Order: sequence, then structure tokens, then C-alpha cells
Amino acid sequence: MEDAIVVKDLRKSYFRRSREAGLWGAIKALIHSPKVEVPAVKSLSFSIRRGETVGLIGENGAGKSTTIKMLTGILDPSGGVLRVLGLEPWRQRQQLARRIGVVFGQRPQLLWDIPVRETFTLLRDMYDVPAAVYAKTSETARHLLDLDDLLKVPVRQLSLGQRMRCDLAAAVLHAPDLIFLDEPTIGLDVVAKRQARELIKWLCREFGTTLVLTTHDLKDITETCRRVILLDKGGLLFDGSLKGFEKHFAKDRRLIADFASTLTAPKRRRLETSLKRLGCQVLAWKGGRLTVSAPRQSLLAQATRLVLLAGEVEDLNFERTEIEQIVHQIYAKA
Amino acid sequence: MGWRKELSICFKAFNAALQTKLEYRADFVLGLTGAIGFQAASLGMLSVLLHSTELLGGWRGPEILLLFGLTALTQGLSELFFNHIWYVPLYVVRGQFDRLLTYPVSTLPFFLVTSPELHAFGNLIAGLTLFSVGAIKLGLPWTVWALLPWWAVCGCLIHTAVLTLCGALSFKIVGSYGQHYWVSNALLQASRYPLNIYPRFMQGLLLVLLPFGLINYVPASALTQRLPLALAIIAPALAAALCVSVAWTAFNHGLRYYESSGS
Amino acid sequence: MSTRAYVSFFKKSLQAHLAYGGAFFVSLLANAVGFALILLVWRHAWRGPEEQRASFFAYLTIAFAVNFSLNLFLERSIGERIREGLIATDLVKPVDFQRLYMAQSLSDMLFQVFLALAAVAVAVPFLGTALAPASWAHAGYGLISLGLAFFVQYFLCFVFVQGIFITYQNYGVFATRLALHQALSGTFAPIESYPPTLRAVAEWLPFQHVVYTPTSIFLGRVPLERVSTLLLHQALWAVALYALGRWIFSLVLRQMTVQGG
Repeated sequence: MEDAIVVKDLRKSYFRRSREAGLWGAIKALIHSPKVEVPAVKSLSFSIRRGETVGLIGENGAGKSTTIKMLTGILDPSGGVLRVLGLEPWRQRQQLARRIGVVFGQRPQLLWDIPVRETFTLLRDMYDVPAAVYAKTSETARHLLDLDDLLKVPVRQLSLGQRMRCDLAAAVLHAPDLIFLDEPTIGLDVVAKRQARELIKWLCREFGTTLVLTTHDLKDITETCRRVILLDKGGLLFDGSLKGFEKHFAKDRRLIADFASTLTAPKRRRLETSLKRLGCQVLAWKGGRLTVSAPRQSLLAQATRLVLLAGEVEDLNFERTEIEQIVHQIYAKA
Repeated sequence: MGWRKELSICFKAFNAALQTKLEYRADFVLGLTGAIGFQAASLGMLSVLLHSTELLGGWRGPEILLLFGLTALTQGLSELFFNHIWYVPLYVVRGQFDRLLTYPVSTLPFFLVTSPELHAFGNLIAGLTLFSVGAIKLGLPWTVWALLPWWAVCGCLIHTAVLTLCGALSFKIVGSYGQHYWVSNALLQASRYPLNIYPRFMQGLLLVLLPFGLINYVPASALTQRLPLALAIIAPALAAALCVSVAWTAFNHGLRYYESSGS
Repeated sequence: MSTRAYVSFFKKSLQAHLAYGGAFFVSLLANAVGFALILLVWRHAWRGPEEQRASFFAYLTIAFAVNFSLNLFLERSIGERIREGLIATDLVKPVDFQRLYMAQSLSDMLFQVFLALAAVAVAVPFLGTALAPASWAHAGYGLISLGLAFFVQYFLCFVFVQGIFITYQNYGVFATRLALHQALSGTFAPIESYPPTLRAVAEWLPFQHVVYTPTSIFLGRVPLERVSTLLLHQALWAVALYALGRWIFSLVLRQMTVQGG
């Protein structure tokens, strides 16, 4: 099957007038301020097959939003090749728009002066959604996002979280082939976040929708995406499956043991030395709680044996490094 | 998408937005007073002028009322249907065109109709009143009323097109309040007085480059036997068509410079 | 409360003015066009005695400069914040709301005075000495009157802005005030040349003290012995409007609901 998204050597730069800080700088800038090129995306290449679910991650300013805005036809790329569903987004914006759904979490932008229900029927007409599809998508969205009370209210009276839910529902009404979610769960509480993820999963399952998602809440990604693309300073840092991502970066496993009584100092020292000899690292001793990090899965069993032999253990837990910590570590290194 | 379809979508969106706005009764009342007050103030200024001199460029009071009336009427129409155009600078600064650009419709018309302003009714009422008073005092024939809608629509298109050009400029001049709209607004206010009181270059500017003169001066000149009627019927329509196509092109060109916001 | 917070707010808002270079020059242009148009209309409509011509146009020029300096657009800055639910962040700041926006308005004024002076400079070759103050005393009193005019204007706007707290709609409030201001402040013509009814209305309201009073004093259109009465009137209006604004604001705060969530 053809690829949903093909990106080759994609670039985008902004031009900013530079100016010095403070009042005097502002006055000087009136007379003269040099133009400075700020590259937001530098030579990005990847492709996404139909039906793939991809999480786009990166720090602020890594180029995620700019990339999504180019993919959706909002911004005109400065260079490179870009095909989305076989179309050139900026030039064929309207054609593309009919087949994609977009949510910008930072600024939910339903039509400000129109009640949500009217917006929904307007979008139905705008996208020519077949009655059967509309019945299904609108019903599911309403159900999964608890929209019933919100439908009658003009958008300007909704809170950010409510608007976000409505915006999400509005973006999937036409069962798009491809859906872009830029920070879709920002401003949502824990329950609403779960509902939003359910809706996204349902959509991908039901319609085979291709998904591209950026988020700061990496749980969004672990729950909905199979593939991860990691951007840094406008370039590609990693591209591969979520499992591979974790394997690649998260070899680290943790063992947390709670001893029934605090060990004597010599016993503790002996345990620490033998763990170290094994290649593990003691991260913390807090009261009766010991945290050990094992660089490989295979070492975990041996480390556990040493811990159990050292004293009476009340509780034993194993932890994988959370994806959030991984990302944090990667950026700390880079 | 066919233009018929787009038109019907725009109409639905306008309809829904207008209904919502009408629910805010205080807005409506204040908008009416504000707009009518504004027109009254400009009448005040006119009265000061006429207190000094009886004829302004050879035009009598009631004749000038026709000019004022036509401008207020077209302004009201434009505010009713296309008032959103004033918000382009704000949308550019805040990157709010993002969502609109992901809809499968032409951006400009859909954007224009989605925020009607209720003070439009104040200007419509004031405009109709001013024009009627002038027409009755001058004893104009009834055919005037048949021509009025035509001039109002052409005028509204010219007015909106000029504002759209300002909007297109906002993509390049990124400033939060769109001061350049006020240049065009100042010229619109000026064009309410008989154009022949101004120097030649101003007349040229207001009849050709930013043809506000075709909104009121040309029609009112015909009504007061200063110009042939046929000219006053055809010229505004031609100007409107030209202005709209230029503005449309400029706006879509401007979108290329849209930078959104954030990272 | 120290004045440091207000000074800092003042500086920041001055900086905000300058941040957008292009917009700065365009706003200059918009006002120049507006002023040029008033002059063009009067050039045609002026029918007074020829020897007063220069002084009439000098009045228009100085009145424009004063009016332009005192454009505060409080409805716009506060109105936007109210409508978008941001006003709450202003109200929780440990500063007095009325004074906070006064600091911003002062910076607006300072910024605009420079532009206004530029406009006056352009008019000098045409009007010459007609633009000069009648005497040193008139110049001094004129400046005092301009200072008082700022307070009249600010507190007047502040009263009108309360309307936005109640209706969440800034156009109506703004347009109503601006309409009254345009018709009654004497920007468009000195109040002596108004038709009798309009003149009577203008003399009973505070709008004339924003533009007409300082301009007339500066140019010596009023004899020195009347100046003190005029200054007193300005001051009384300023105090009355200050008190009225504070009173309404306290009522508004009591029943305020902040838009959105």
C-alpha cells in the first residue's frame, strides 16, 4: 500500500528581526533591526505507512508543531519534498483537508461564536460525511467524551478542557484517513485524558486511521502509538517502534526491596559490594527500602537472589524505566 | 468543492453565528447605541461645518445627508456580514488561522462570515434614516429606493474588499492591533464629505485607488443631477468586482506568509 | 504599596509599543491621514475673517496634538482582558487596579506626545508664529492644563470601562465614549464655533476639558484672568470622575463573574 506520509529533506525557517533587550533596545530596533534566519526544521526525512500510529516527541522548540503544521498544509515548507495521502499539503490544502482530521491542543479552535452542536452539523455538511458514518462517529464521540451537556453551549462559554474535548470530537466526525493530534490532552483532567485516548484507539481500530501525535504526556504515546519519532533541534534523533525505542534506550531495570527490619551496617556493606561486583548499582537506601538498578534483564534474577539472602524481605518490586525518564535522559546527554 | 456548496456552508455558518450573538441582549442594545451615537457625532461635526458655511463644495445639507447615509448603510452591511475581517491582525499574531486552514473550504469567505457584529444594525438604521431624510427633503423620485439596495451591495463589497487588502497586509506587518486598518478608515470617514472639496490627488485616490467615492459620492451625484444615472449604476459594480478580485488574490497570497505561532 | 510596580508596568508597556516596528510607523501614518483630512475639510469650509485664519488652523493643529496624546484606548486594553478572562490575573496582583492601568495610560500618553510633537513640527512652516503660545504664562498654564486633561481623560475612560465589566462588550462602550468625545471635546473645531445647542451641551460635560481647555489656554484664546477658573473646573471634574470610577468599580467587583474557565 502507498505511504500515508512521505517526507524527504523537509526544511522550514522563520525570519525574525533581532533586537536587544530593554527599552533602549526597543528604540534602536525601530531604526534598524537585522533579519535573522531561525531554522525550525532542518532536513527531516521519514515516511509513515497507512494505518501506522506514530508518536512525535521532542522538547519545546524541537520542531514538532512546525512539522505538523507543514504536514497539514498550514505552513509552506522552505524546502524539501512532502506528500501526505499523495497530495502536496500547501498547494492542495482543501483537498487534503477533506481527508484529514487535526487537533491543536494549545489552542482549541472551534468556531468561537457558534454552539458546539451547530459546529458539528456544519462540519458534517462541510466534509460531506455520509449519514451512516456521522451517526457512528458522533455517537461514539459523544459517548466517549461525555459531550451531551456541552452541545448546546456557545464555544466561548466552555472551559479549556471542555473545548478540548469538543475539538477532539469535531476532528474525527468525518472519519478521516489520517489524523494529526498536536498536544491533544493538554488541559484535560485524568479522566478526560483516558476518555480521549479511548476515542483515539477506537478510531484507529474502527477505520484503520493513520495517527500522528505529539504530546508532552508520554502516556498518550505508550497507550496509542506503535512507533516513535524523536526530534531534536529540528532534526531526527530516533525513528523506530515503541518497543525498539524502549529496548534501545531503556536497558535499565529496577529492583525495589523492602526489608522487614533495617539491616546492620556490615550486612548492608556486604550486600552492596556483592551487588556492585555483579555489575548492578545501588541507587538508594532509605530506611528499610533498597533501590537497585540492573543494566540488563539477565542480571536482575541474580541481584534478586542476593537481596533475598541478605535478610527478611517484606515486599519486592520490579520497575522498568518510564518512557518519560528515557526521553529526559536522552536530552540530558544530547 | 463547488462554489454553490461553499456558499451554502458559509450561509449556514453565518446563520448559526448570528443566532448566537443575538442571544446577548446587552451587547445588542449597547452596539446599537454605540453605532448610532457615532453617526450622531459625525452629524454634530457636519453641523459645525455647516454653521460656518452653508454650502460644502456646492452641496446643501440634505444632499450631504445622502452621502452620509450611503456610507453608514454600506458600513452596516459590511459589519453585519463580514466584520471578522477586522480581526485578521489579531488572528495572525496569535496563530489562530491554524484551525481554519484545516477545514476543506476557502479560507477567506468562511472566515469573513463567522463573526457578525450586532452594532451593524445601528449603522443600518442610522444609514437608512439619514438617506431617507435627505431623499425626502430633496423630493427624490421613488426609483431611488429601487436603486438603493444595488448601491448598498456594491458599496459593501468595495468597503469589505479594501479592508481585506488591509487584512492581507497584516500577514506581512505583524502588529497586534492592525493600525493600518485605521488609515483606510480615516479615508472612509473623509469620503463622506463631497469629494470636490478636496485637492485633485485626494479625489483621484478616493475614486480610483481606494474607491470609497463610488460607495456614496458617485451615486449621490447622480441623484442630485451632477452625473448621468447610468454611470452611477455601472461604475460601482465594476469597481466592486475589481476590488473583490484584487482583495481575494492578495489575501490568499498573504496566507503564504502566515507563520502560525509557538514552536 | 511602593511605586516600583507601577513604574515597571509603565516601562514594560512603553516597550510593548515599540516592539512592533512596522505597526509603529503605520499608526503614525493613520493619524497623520486623519489630521490631514480635518485640515482639508476646514480649508474648504472656513468662512471666518481672514486675519483669524492662521489662529483657527493653529487651534486645529494643537487640538489634534493634544487629542492624539490623550488617546488612551482603555476600552481596548482592559476590554480584551475582560472578554478573554485574563482580568482575574490583574485583579490578584498586589496593586491597585485603577492605578495599574493609569501607569499604562501614562506610558501611552508619553509615547504619543512625541508623535504629536512631530505633527506640530510639520505644521510650523505653514502656520509659523500662530502655533506659538500667547505668552510664557499661557504656555505654563497650558502644560498644567494638559496634565489635568490627562487625569480627566483617564478617569472618564475608567468610568466608561466599567460598562465592559457588566456587558463583556467593548465596541458599544468604546463607540459611545468616542462619539461623545469627537462631538464634544473640541478636537474638530473650537467650541466657540459650534452651533448654539451643541455648544451648550459641550459646556456642561467633561469632554471639553480633555482637548478644548488645554489648547485654548496654551494658544491664549482665553484671557489670563479666566485661566484659574478653567483649571479649577478641570481639577474638579478629575476628582469627581475619579471618585465615581472607584465607586462603580467597587460595585462591579462585588458581583463580578470572570468569563470563561
